[in-house]
Amino acid sequence: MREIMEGSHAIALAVKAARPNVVAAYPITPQTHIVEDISQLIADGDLDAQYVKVESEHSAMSVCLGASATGARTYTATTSQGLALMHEVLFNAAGMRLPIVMTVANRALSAPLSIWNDHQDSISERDSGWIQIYAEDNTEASDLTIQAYRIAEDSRIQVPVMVCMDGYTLTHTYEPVELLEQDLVDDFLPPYRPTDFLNVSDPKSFGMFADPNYYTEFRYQNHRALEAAKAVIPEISSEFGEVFDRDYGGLIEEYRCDDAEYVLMAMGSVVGTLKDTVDDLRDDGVRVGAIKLRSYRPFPVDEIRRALAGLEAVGILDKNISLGFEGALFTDVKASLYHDDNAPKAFGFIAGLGGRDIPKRTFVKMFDYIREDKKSSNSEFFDLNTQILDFQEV
Amino acid sequence: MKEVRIHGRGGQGSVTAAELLAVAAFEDGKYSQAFPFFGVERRGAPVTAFTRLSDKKIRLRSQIYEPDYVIVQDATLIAAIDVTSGLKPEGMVIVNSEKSPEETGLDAGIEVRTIDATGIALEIIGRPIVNTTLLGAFAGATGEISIESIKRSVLARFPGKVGELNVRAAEKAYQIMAATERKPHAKAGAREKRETHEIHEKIGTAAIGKPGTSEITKTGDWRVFYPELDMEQCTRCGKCLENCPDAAIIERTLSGHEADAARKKAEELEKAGKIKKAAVKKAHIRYELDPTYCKGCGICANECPIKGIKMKLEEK
Repeated sequence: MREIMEGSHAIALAVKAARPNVVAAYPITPQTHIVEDISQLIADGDLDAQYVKVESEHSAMSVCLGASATGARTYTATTSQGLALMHEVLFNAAGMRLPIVMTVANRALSAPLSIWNDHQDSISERDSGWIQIYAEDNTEASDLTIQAYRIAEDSRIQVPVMVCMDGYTLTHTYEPVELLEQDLVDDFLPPYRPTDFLNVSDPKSFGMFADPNYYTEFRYQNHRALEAAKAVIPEISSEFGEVFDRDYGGLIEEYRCDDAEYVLMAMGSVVGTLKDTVDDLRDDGVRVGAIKLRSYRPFPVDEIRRALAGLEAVGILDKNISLGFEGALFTDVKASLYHDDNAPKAFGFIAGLGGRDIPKRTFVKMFDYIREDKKSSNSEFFDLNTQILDFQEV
Repeated sequence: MKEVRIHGRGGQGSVTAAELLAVAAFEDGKYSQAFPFFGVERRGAPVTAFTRLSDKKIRLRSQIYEPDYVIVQDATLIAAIDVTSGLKPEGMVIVNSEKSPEETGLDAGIEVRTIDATGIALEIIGRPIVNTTLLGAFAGATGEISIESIKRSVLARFPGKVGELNVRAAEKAYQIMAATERKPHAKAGAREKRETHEIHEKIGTAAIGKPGTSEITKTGDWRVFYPELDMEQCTRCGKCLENCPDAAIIERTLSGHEADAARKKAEELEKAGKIKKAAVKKAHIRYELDPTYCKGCGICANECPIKGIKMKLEEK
C-alpha cells in the first residue's frame, strides 16, 4: 500500500510498526518532525511506548542506553549538532553492545551555522562503533528502520544502528511511500529478547572497568561484530525483500554498471539524481554507471573491489570532508583498492556541503572530469565559487 | 515529468501549497514530490517550494531550475527576484495579482496568467492566505490536475470549516481560470534572460564584515495588513516595541508645546473616564509605525495587553 506523506512522518510510522518500548528525544532545533510525530502517536494511544523528554541530546542517548540495557527496544532521532552532542554516549552504546536504532537526518555542522544537508554529522561519528546505512528515498529509509532493528538485535551483531537520511531533501519531502503492514512487520521483527540485560534476578555488569588485560579483547569483539554485519545486512535485506517485495540488495547497489567504463559513487538521496544522469548519458551512448554505497560502516571493501574491477575510472562524491586531507569516502575507497592490479583510477569530489544543490549538470561535469586523462590527486572541491574566497596561497 | 516552482513569502503557505499539489497529483494516480527550500525562516521573507509531477517514479532530488510552471504568490516578488528564471519556453506563470498579465512587469514573451487570489481569499476565507486559491487557479489554468483532487487534498489537510472555506476559494479561482482561454504559446527564446543574482562579495576568513544588512531589506513591501495604534488608550508598556521582529515601531518623545498639549488632552480623557491613569503619565511618549519596515505580521496586535492595536487592510 502506497501513500503520500512527508519523509519524517513515514519514519514515525515505521518506528510505530517496530513497536519500541522507549523513545527518548530532545525535540528542539536541530530536529525533524520525526520525534514530534512519534510523541503524537504515543499521546493518541496509537503507540504503546514510553516517551522520555530530556534536556539535551546527550541525555537522549543516555536514556536510550539505560533503557536498552534493561532489554527495552529503544529509538531516537537527531541531526547535526544534536548528534555531535551525543558523541560521548554513542561510543558507550556501541561498547555496551546495545541494539539502539537511531535516525540521523543528515545536516551540516557549525560553524558557520548551516541548517542544510550534508553528511558531515554522521561521517564524523564514523569510529563510534555504530553501523551506518544511508537511504536513497523515504521508502528505503522507512524499510531500513525495520531492518535496522533486526540487524542491531541479531545475536551475531548486537551493535546499534544509525539509519541516515538526508535532512530536508528526504525528511521534509512529500513523496509516495510504501507503507509497512503491521502484521508483516510483527512476523519479520519479533519482540526483542536479549540474552544479556540488566535483571535483578540475574545480575550482570555493562560498560564496566576493563584493564589492559581486557580492553583490547572487548574492542576486538566489537570490531568483529561490525565485520559480521557485512554478511548479516544483505541477508536481512533479502529476507525483508521476500516478505515485503522490496529488496535493496546488500552493502552497495550497482546501477547500470555491467558494461560501464566510468562510474560515480555516492551515498544518500543524491544517488537518485545520479541515476537519472546515468540514464541521460547512456541515451547518448556513454558507458557510465553509478554505485550507491548503502553501508558506510561496516565498509564493504570486497564488494567495492569487485564492483570497480576493470573500470577505467571511478569518481567518489563526498558530502563531507576530513579537513586537511580529503573526503572520507574517497579515502576508504582508495584503501580498498590498494594492492589491486585491476583497480581503476580514482577521483574524489567534495560537493553538496551545507545544502549546496547537486543538479544533474554537476554529475555530468564529474563524469567529464573522470573521463579526461588526469592524474589522481586528493579530493577536488566541485562547484566552488572562487570569486568570493579570501584565501592566501602559501 | 512536469515541474512546478512556487515563489512566496514566509507565512503565505508556499510549502503547504507545494505539498497539497503533490498530494492532489498522487490522488490523480501520479507520482509526485514536494519539497521546500528554506532560507532564513522568517515571516515575510522570500520562500521557494517545488513540486514534481510524473507518471513514473521520481528519483531526481535537485531543485527545479527549468520549471514548466511558476506560481507567484506575491507579485512584489517580481521586482525582487527573477521568478521566471529558467522557465521553459512553453511554460506558464500564474501570478497572484489584481492587475492584467501585461501589467505584471514580466517579459512579454512569457505566458502570464493573473488572478486576484488575495481578493478571493479575503472575500471567502477572510484572511489573505492565498495558497489554496492559487492551487485552484493552477488546476483551471493548466489542466495538469483535477480540481476535485485539489479539493480532497485541501480537506484532508484542513478538516472542517477552514478546509471548506479554502475549497470554496480554490473552486472560485478554478472557475475563473477555466473560463479564460489560454493564449498561444510564446515562441522559444522570445524573452530576454535576466541576469541571475550572483554573489561576488568576498567572505573573509571566518567573519563577515558587513553588519546592518537588515536596513537594506525594505520589509514594509511585504505588508498586506498594517497595525493601527490607539495612542489614546495606550499605556506605553512597550510590549509592541519589544516584540516587533523588525523594530518597526518607534518611540518618540514629545517636548515643549507638543508635550503639554498631549498631556492636557490625556487628562481630559481621563476625567471623562475614557482612559486609564497609566495612559496619562506618559502621554508625551508616542509610538509610531515605521512603514518602511513594518511587514504587517500582527505580532504587536497579538501582544498588546489592552488590545489597543488593530490590524487593518492596507489600501492598494
